[in-house]
Amino acid sequence: MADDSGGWTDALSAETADVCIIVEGAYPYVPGGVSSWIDWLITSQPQTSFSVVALLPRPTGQKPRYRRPPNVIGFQNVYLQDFGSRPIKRLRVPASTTALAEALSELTTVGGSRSLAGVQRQLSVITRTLPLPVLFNSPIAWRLVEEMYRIEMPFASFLHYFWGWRAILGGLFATLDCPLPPARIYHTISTGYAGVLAARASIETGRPALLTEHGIYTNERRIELLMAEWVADTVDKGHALDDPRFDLRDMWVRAFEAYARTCYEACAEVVTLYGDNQRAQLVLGADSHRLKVIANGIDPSRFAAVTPAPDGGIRVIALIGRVVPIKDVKTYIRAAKHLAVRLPALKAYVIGPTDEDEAYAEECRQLVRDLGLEAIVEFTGAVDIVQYMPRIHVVVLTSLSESQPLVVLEAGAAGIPFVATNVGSCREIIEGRRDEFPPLGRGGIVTDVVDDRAIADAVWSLLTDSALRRQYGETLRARVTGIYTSVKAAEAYRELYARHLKDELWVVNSARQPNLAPSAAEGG
Amino acid sequence: MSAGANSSEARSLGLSEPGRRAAGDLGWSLLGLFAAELVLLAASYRLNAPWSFWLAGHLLLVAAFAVRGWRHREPGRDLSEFGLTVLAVLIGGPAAAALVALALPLWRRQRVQPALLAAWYDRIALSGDIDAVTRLADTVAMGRALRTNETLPRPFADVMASGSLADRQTALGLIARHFSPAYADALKAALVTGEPLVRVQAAAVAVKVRGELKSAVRGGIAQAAQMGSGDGTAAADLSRALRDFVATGLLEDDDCVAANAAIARLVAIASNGAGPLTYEGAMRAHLETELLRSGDYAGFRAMRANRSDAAAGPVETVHGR
Repeated sequence: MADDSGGWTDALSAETADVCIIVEGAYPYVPGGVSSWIDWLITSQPQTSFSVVALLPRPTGQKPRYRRPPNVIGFQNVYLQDFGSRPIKRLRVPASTTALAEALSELTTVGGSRSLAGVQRQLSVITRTLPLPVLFNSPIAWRLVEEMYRIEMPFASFLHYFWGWRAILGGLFATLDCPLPPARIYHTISTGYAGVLAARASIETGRPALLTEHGIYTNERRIELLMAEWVADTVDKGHALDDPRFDLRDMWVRAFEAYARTCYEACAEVVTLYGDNQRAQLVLGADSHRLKVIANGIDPSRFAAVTPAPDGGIRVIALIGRVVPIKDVKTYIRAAKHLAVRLPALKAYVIGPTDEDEAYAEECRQLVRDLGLEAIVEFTGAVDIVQYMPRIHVVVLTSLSESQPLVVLEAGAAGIPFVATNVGSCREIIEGRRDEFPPLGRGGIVTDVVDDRAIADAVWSLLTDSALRRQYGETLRARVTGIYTSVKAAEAYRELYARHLKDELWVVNSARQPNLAPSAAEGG
Repeated sequence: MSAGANSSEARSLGLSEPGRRAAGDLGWSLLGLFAAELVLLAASYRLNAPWSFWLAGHLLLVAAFAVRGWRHREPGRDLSEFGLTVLAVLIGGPAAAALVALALPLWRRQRVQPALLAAWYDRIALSGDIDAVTRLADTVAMGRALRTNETLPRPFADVMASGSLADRQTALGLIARHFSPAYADALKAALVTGEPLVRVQAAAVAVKVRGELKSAVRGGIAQAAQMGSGDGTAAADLSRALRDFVATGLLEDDDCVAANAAIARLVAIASNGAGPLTYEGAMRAHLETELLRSGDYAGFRAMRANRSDAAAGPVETVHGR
């Protein structure tokens, strides 16, 4: 990057963009799979103009981690939890507050486009004279929280409800209050607040909204909330699962589910990376007729020159990805321990940045020391994986959760077999879809999550059988180069946008084939 | 006495808003009754009416006073003060009305505690008409109470086998937040379920629980190292806890080995009071348990056959991974 800002300036564009990308907590500030994908999407559609709305909790002075592509004509930050805190004490509470409370309650518990439109209608009455940030800190907000508490969860502690309400509604109000960049299509990369903003844009402008969901955002939030120690349990349900009394945890989960329903309902097409995700989307209320799969792709030519690792000498395995808990690097280290007992000539790389969660990285290093693996396990940091690939016999992925990991595609393009946990679309990529024709066979081995022994056994079987390793590597290469290419993915998005821009002047420049792809080495 | 004074008097006595209103009304009514009685008396004197005319008028006025007071009474409130007032004005006429109106504040001042008690009594005992604050407090208190009259919660293992998606995810949340070794089987079942949403969550739970178990086991091992021959009961408890941790199958191999060694030591300490069990004997008993667990009955019999310390029986079975 030439300068700190990477060319990003927070300014609403007056010019209408073809596509407005709405993204929460990722691009352009946080590197990772989703951010790399957005960067690829924008650069792979050079004939399309984009604007970007980045939703963040609050201003933190973070620097963009991606250079601004030349076809991005507008950029805007929206802060979800920065809605002012100075209370307004003297203000008449209008009679319509009760109706607004009921509409907000419906939106945060049931959701749907109609509920969102109802909230907008009720809010428009009050915000004619009172800006939303002022309302949020006024006696009207106090009346709202009282009314909603009475409707939703009278069994819970009011004090806890109040702060939960402020967090949930603060984010919602921020998305309802921010100015909308002019665009012909609003494309959100997740449900949640980004999804609500896309739904609002579609309702207000009449333009289509699209959703591309990598992981299932609502499920990720649900897992986080159900396990969170910071959410107080104020209703004592013991271990009963069917107790109908709602508590704060339920309030959060219901709100995210309702926001997802709102987004699914408002979006003209709901895209995901692989078929398994669609089941979750259907459960959460998406319309089956709007669902679509567009797989991620890579540029295989980047890995075409990689030669297979030699059969003799030290056997090398690698985990390629950020050193963060969701990658479960500790299970990889434990698997390396099992392997080291059977195979002394072993090298186990952890290739990826360690600075995102320093504490976790240190725990991993400590585990390496505890298990006496200092000579075997090596943390390389962020490096060019193409340089390492000729040395690697097997790539391992121990992640707890993934959508469609690029690293599997990259290793496949290099002809390196893969051992991965059964997450996201790993099985689909490694073993092939059920409808694959002709069936290519296996490109690696899929194991259960958090099962270091099974992972070690799978890696062992590939390290000790050169023929099998080569066969799996070639199968994976054939599948990746046949299905998962960035050219195909870019073409699919060009068609998707064209379908929804058909009433606009739209020229598809088929001669300009993008040759850019996101890379796992950037932090997938 | 003015009604305002009456009201502020009532406020100082800790009466509720309806109570203050009722107290003010009684003051105004007494003043009205006093004035009406004076008019009646003057009219009877001026018209030279018979005494029965005055008596009928007096009874009518007292009846009107009583009816008005009855209609404006505060629900559930003690009516003895009002009853005594009616009786006094019935007997004493205008003089009694004036005296009661003057005496009422003094009387109430001396009844501070009874008034407060009455207010509390109204709130907690006469719950037929509960005010909003009490209702809120009651509802929140109900939220704090476990519903013991409901059916028993389903075991988590059953939930994992046949529960809905939402139930399985909620159960995993509970396992993550309140892990007990007894939940290990449910967690393992969730880790290999065909439902990706549950599997992903189970993996996250397993990672969290593993970290917590590791700390707990290492703490237990350190505690075991400090125990001596006098800690028999505590040693037995700790050995059971460590055994449960090992049985979850979620520990590192090295931690399992260290925990098993600690268990053997704790069994030896716990057995000191019961019989002459040596450290070697405890270790042997522990190994026998492991042989039984792994189904190596031939090994178990061979070990038993060579055993000189026949007094020591096998300890409880340990289910490792």
